[in-house]
Amino acid sequence: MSNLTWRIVSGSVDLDVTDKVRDTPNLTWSALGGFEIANVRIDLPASTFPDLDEQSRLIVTDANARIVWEGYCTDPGGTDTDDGQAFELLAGGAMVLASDKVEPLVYRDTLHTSWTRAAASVESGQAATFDDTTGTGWLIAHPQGYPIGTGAEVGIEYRQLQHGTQGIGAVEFITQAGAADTGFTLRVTTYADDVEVDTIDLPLSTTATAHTLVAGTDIASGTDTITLTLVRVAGATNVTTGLSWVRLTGLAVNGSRLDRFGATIDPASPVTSASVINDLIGRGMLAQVDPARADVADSAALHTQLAFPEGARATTVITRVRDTDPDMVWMYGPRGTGGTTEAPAGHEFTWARWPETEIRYNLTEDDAIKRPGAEDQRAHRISVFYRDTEAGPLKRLVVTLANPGGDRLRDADPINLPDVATELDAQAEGEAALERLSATKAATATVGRLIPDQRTGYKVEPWEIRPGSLARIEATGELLRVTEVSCAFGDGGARATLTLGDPAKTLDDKLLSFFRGESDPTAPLITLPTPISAPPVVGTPANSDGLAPTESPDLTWRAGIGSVFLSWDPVANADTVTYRILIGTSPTLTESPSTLAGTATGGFFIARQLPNGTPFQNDTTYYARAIAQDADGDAPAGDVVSGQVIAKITETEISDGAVNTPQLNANAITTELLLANDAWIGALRATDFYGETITGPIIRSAEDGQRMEVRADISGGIVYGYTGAANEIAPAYIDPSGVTYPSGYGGGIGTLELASPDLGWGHARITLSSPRSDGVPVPPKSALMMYVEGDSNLCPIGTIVMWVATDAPPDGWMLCDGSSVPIDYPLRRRMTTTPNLIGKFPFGAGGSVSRWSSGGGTSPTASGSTDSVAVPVGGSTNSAGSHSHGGSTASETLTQVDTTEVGGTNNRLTGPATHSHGISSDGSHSHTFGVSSDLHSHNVTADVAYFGVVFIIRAYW
Amino acid sequence: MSVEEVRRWPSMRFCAAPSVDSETRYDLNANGIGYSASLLHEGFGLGMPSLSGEPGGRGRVWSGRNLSLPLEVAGGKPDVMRRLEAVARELMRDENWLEWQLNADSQPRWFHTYASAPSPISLSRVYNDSREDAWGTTLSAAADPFAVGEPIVLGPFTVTNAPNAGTYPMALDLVEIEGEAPAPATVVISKATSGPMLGPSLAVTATAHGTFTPDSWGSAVAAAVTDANFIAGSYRPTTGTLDDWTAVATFTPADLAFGRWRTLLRVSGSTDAGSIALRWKVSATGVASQVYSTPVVVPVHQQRRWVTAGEVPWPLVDGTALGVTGDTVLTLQAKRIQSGGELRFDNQLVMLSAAPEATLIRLEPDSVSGSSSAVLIDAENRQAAAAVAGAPTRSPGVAGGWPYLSPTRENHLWVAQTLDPTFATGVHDSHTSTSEVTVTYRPRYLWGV
Repeated sequence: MSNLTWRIVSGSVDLDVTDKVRDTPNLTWSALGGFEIANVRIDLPASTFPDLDEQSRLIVTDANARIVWEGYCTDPGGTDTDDGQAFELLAGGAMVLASDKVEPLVYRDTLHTSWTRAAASVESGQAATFDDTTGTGWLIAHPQGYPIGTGAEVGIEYRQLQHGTQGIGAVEFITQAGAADTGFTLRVTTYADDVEVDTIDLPLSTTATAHTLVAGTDIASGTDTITLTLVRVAGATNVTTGLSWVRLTGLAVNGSRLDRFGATIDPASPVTSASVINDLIGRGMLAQVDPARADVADSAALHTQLAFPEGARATTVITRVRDTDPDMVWMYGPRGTGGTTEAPAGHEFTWARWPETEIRYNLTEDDAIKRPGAEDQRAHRISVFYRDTEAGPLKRLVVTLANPGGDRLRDADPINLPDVATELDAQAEGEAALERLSATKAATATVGRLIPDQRTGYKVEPWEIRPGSLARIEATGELLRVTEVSCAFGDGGARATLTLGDPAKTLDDKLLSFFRGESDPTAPLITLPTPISAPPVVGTPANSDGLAPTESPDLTWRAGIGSVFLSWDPVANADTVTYRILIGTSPTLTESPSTLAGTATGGFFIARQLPNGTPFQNDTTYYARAIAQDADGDAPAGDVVSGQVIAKITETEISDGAVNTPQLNANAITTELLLANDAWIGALRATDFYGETITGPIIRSAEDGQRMEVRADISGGIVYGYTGAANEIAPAYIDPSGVTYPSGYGGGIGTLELASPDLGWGHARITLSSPRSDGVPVPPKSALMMYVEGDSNLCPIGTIVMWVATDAPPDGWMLCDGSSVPIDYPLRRRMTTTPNLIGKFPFGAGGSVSRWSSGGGTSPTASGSTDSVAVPVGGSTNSAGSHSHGGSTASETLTQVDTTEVGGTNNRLTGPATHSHGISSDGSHSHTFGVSSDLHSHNVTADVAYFGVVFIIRAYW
Repeated sequence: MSVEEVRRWPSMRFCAAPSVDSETRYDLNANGIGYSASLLHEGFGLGMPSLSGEPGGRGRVWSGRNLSLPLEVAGGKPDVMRRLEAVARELMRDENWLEWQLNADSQPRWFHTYASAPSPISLSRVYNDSREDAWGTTLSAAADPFAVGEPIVLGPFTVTNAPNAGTYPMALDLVEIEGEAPAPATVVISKATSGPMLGPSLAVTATAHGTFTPDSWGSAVAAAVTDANFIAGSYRPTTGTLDDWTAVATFTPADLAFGRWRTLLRVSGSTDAGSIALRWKVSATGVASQVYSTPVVVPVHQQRRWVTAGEVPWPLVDGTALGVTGDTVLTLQAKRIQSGGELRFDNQLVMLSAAPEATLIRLEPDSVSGSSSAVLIDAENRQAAAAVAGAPTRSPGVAGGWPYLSPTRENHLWVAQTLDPTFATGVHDSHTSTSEVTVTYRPRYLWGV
């Protein structure tokens, strides 16, 4: 028939029924869903397909093996005719797959009413919605005048995702508090399967502050419930002031989303239509879609409210998405090739925008174009009459299309609701009526010929015309959307009837409703459960036997990465038991706000931080205990357990102390790359090498007092060890037969022996054994301690000796020529270069000459001149040898000239011109003298007898 | 139907199958049911099928025909009634074959008849006292639209599973098809040598397929890598991120008539992960406009196989009226859809006519044994069968059009062993293997003579 092949695949039967197709089979394609309905009579008993059910497929292919229509049989797959020789088969196109699965879904929920009041720990706590000129949201408060203690909390919770496959992706809210009171905090707590996961305390501010918490960044991924509570965190029990409140507005929750391959995307990214469709595919809601064959077009429309906490099928979600994005179409396509027999390839899927200019079909007068009558005209407004009580007055509600697209408003005939209804009911009924009327067709056309596909240029069969395209009516030039194609295969040939105009908005819903017998496909499918366990309510206990639990459980500590998993066996108790978990850093663990980590009703508790919010450190020991309580009181606290958490290694660098474990298993750390680059492990630190074998070319620790070196590339190996404070070195000695370490030494080395005594120069091996030769057991955490020196055949590292042989220095020695000391030589620990003693004599350092100082020339023979100087010579005689000088002077008489003249020039003595004086002896005396030479210098030559040797230094063993 | 002189002719018998050697259910001539005057009676007619629908309409079908055969049965009453009883039994069979041969110079034809109500018996020449009555009636039978002739076997042909090697490189021409109407064919594709046929396909087209190699390779693929499993002796792997459509290769097909063409490529993959979409850009040199085919997603899988890479119009426009042959260029473009391995391309492009009169049928055998295998495609009965190592397997699923041979046009048969197959690790298309193809058909006749 029409060169089409009709094939039914049912269980083990895969049969070509083309010759058995009778009457006028009909195939339908819709722009919303793709393959839609097949109605066909098969001239075979239905028993031909004993397994015919909703899993069975009807596949129609054309002569070129193209899939024309593909879908799934209804259940029970077909209805026998009266004589049982034929059956009517009704099949739904692949679009029915979109209705197979039901899931609670929240893409973005901005309704503050989706939040509910959480159970408060104090009866006085208040949480209420508000909707006023300042906005909508929740007001959480500890009202004035009530005494509350630390830990008192009240708040709201979001549980719409509690039972879905989605987790909380992102949470947005704006806070504004009555006071910036540090005694309170807004605590964000997330839960996964009723188990608390995250706790974040946000400070209060009187300024409106926006918060966005993103899963995977701010809160853990995979949580399903979140609470926002106002918590008393500091201060003694007191009475509230009236400013202990916080307003929460702008509440919005994004569920986690996937891409179409199932990978998580940024949950805080905008909720676009494409992201929703991709999520439906990635989540399997659009069943049997091959994500690789899905063509999902982007669109700019954003969804501010798209939540189905009570469950939805993909068709419902898509319908809602199209309310915002009405020009988009979605279609299932045929199965692709390339799958396996066990896992056939999935269907193609298209989410695309209706073309605006690309005309694919040009319809002429041959195509029987018809236009609908006036009864199908679109209406924009409708009046709905209803009563909200049995005896109440008849009310009228006028429902208007949001966007009529012009000034003219055309009223539909009013409707009356027969039963008691609310205003919301009336609104919904009115909208539904307008929707039905707006689904009218602009025109229909019937094509029974080969028709050119304007996009490709070649002609296509009538059954190849696809909706979701544009057709042009040649006579009028109108461009109309092809919304539906229904092809009938009768005696006169195949004729495709095209529905032209706007698509019916609820077509998919109506179809699915038809298939599934649902009266209301949008009705809630899942009833939300009651809230999960919440902090205990203080007040009259609901269940009380008057007896508190007799005991608290002992916890088991299981370290996680940056976290601890505490588990316990629940205690037997008549009433419901809640366990308060205390965690701290002190083994004396008493309950306080700083130790109360949280509560749990099950048998486990996960913690990632101290109650004060400090994340666990992997090198810290923590303590925990539990207190069981019921409505009647507390049990004695359980035993304190302690433990550490496992380090979290991130990035490419392991920070100091990041790996702190009592045991490193074999091959826990490998160093191929380090070796390849001649690099060091710089941060290996262990507290216990006892009895362990350390292999590798070099392992070093450079920390004073706790270092160790092992050279395994030298026969026998040498081990140095130090312990205690730096330079606290106890000597040991070695003899060729092996020695026992001196008793009384405070370390822990067992036996030291020469590994190659015949060599005589000092390869040694340490055997760590216990007890030592003196009978003292080696402590289990002894550090390796060894220092070799003294009168053994060994020369300590750094020893300098003279070497006269002309060949290279022996192994373990280096020339003292100032060359660089290789990094793996023990000598390197002491110096980076050897002393350069070429042309130098060693000189004992100390006093004015310090170590490593040098001076002088480089030759054993030296010549030069002294400085040019003058040589002074001086002295004195002694005092012996007194003597006198003979003779006298001439004598002269003096006469006074005028004795009366006072002050005159004549008042003087005058006398003869000549007279004499006698000279007496002086006695003993001495004389001094001095002489000086001219400046001069002297030539000097030093000629020292010498013999050339080289100095070598012990560099390694 | 005019009255003609007959002697022993026409020969008519009901038989079990449309063959001269088939079991005779009732021989009308041998039982004296014929024409005493050696003439065909008035009202004799083989009927004619009718064609539904309007001229130019699509999906038109030929309806069945009604045979009208006035018969005279002469003889004694008990004998005549016995013979009429035998005729009635044949008429009431659900299905029957009526062999009809006009005379010794013509070939027998068979009408596939169905149960139908016979005409009343005429007693106008039956006499109470006569011992030699002449009973008259008309044998009326509903039958298929066309009479069929003796089966004709074509082949076997040794078809090489490569478009550029062997006497029959993946295709052969079936010539001198007899009959008057398109006839369903039965095709057996058998592999004597071991090797699976994971997705055997058979196309019958009025226009020969084309085989082309790239004019040039694009930036979407890297340099050739030697591999004897490819027809080219090497393959070109995809390279780069392929975040956007990137040219794989450019072809300039020639000597193909304007129309709708299915493109086939031979590919494999570096691993079994990822997918890449392929599409064609159909453009003409110096013309800015172009047509893009609907993308086809090809999973990256190590299996070497032929894949359908979409349909294209070629050339870009029908240049017949313009007197130009055009220089339409096909550019294969690739775009990565899912991360994973690289697709590997052979250098062969096969363009197969996808015109409305062409047919292509694909089988989906779920047995991939390495032993010898064979498939049978029976268009007459619209059924397929497969056998592996001489044993039957479950009937394979079938998609597409059954093969028909038309006496009014060329009949090109194209055969592939592995086209768009199901995936199976280690099972590959072999371009060096051959298959034996045998085609059997019964000519169809409109007039029945």
